[in-house]
Amino acid sequence: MVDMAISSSADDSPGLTAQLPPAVSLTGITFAWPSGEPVLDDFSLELKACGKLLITGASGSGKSTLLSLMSGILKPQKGTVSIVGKEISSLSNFKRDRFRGDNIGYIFQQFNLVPYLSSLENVLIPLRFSSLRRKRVLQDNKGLSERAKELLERLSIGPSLWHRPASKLSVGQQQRVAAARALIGRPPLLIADEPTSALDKEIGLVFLRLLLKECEEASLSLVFVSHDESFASEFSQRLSLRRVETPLDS
Amino acid sequence: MGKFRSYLFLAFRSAWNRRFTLFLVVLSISLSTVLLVGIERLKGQARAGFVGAISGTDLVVGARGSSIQLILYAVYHLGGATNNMSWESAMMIKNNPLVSWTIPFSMGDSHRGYPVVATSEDFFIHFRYRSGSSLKLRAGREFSDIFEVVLGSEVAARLKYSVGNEIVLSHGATGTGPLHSDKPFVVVGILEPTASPIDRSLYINLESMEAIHVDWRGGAPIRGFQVSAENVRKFDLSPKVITAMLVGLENRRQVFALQREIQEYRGEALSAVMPGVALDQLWGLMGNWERVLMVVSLLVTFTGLAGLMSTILAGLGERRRELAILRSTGASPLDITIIMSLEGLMLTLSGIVLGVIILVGLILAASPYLLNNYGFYLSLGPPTKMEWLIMGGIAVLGLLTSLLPAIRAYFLSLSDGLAPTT
Repeated sequence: MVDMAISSSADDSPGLTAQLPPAVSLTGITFAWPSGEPVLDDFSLELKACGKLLITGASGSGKSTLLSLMSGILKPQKGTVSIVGKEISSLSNFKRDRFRGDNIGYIFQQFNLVPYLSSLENVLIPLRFSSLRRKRVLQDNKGLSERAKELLERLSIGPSLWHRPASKLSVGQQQRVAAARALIGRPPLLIADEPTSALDKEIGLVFLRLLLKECEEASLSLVFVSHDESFASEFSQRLSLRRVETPLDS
Repeated sequence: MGKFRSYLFLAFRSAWNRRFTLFLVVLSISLSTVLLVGIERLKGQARAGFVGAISGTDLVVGARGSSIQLILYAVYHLGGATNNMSWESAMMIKNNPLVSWTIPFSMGDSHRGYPVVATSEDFFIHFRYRSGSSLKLRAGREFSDIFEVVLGSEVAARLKYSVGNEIVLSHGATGTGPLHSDKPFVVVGILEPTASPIDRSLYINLESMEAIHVDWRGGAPIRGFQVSAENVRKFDLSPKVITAMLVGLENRRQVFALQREIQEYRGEALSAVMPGVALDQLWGLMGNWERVLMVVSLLVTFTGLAGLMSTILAGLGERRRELAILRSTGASPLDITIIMSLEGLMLTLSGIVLGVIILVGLILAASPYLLNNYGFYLSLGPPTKMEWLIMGGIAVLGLLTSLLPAIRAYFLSLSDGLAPTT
């Protein structure tokens, strides 16, 4: 049997954001794979609005499972999952898909982009599926592609790259385009699943700082997964997962 | 950024990215379209052409024999000669009170492969083709004397004849028989195109037919007996026999009465055939072949659709990452399913459009050949109801076929979640 030991260190700074519902709130989560292998047992976690959470841990430590629970891809056997004040564990599949599209932006380790679409077209995809994110852009008095170009520019993707197919971009450029896409339409929560592990250490740090700045600017919460503990100082809240062998196993 | 336009955009861009693989699928669907719609068009137009060539004629009368053979020979100049019928019988029918008009035909000679038809002035007066059009001359006049010939438009165009040219007929329908070179004909008129067998025929009067055969017996010139074109007028040139006769009635409802009367005529064994009935028999004969063709083209269609399904299914493995990316940007599994079905529908529709373009090209290329060699008029023109139905059927089948990979994509994207697999 495998279990997890979870240690969390919170460094909350009270402010205006305290009135907003927490970005992520997991309460009493118990989750086990159908094979019976338990992953989480009565696990709770709260990330304040505009909070920045770093999750670290070796592969197999349950990071992906935790993210899948947060995004509603997996359902816990016990406990509740609330994202920006909405309990998603009780939503229907259809509504959960809608909610996710409206409220969560994703960046993965690699292969984030549709290879045959241009950077600009890639950034605009979430607006095709979420009318709420479209509305948020328009509320800012911006044209959709105007906003996309602005985000690309802020993430150092210049006009010469806007119409280039994603497959013709470097990995670093691809990750920054993916970040612009996750940010467009201001979803309140950003989930970044090891977005820097395919990048060089320095480029990775530059990427992280850009991302943090944009989240700050748009008042978004960030859940950032990495196996690189050296990023810890950039985050307000940290969670490190590790795999523990129980006596039953040995 | 409407939802449907987004679906179309993503489906199209994805398909375009795989256009070289998918082109084969589109091609096989277009082949199905060419076959199914093409056969339907050939069938429909062959029938319309056959029926149109004899519209307005109530009965075709000839010597007793196969009614299909009589119709084919008398109206379309196809097939071998049947027996002749006597001029007396023809006159008797013409004078029957039920009869409004008759057009006698006498055949057997040809000119460079085109049939020569001897008839009377009634041909120009009474003959109707395709919903009631009457014959018109493009140049010159009708024949009024022996050794005058009126040409069908195709004959004149192909052989580059104009009014005033002299031509020589040859004996027999094949065009390889001996020439009637001692009695040349003058072209006096050229008919307007009718898109019917008339375009491919030459018309002379019945007396001319007698005149060129005055010194012939049993299909060959009589040895030591030659009559010059000048002297032939001294002979009795009134027709003795004809091959067939078209009959129009005063009242169409009496067609059965007249038919019975002619069939029971004791002076000679005659056939009176209603063109519609004979053509129905003809379609019956061709029905088996049509069914074989239809089955083959349906098989081709199913093969094409199976190709569509297997290509999309095979591509699904490589596209799991792409689908996961769409999921992570907010697409629901249902969105993915719709995009995938749209792709199948787009491929099918492109196949149909390509098929129609190929078909139009084929018709444009083949129709002069068909008209020249078979007197068959294959026209473009908007699709018929049946053709629309066939194309709609292919589109629906294409959509249904692409539902299977789309549903598979639905479950794949459910189980794959959002993380792009490596």
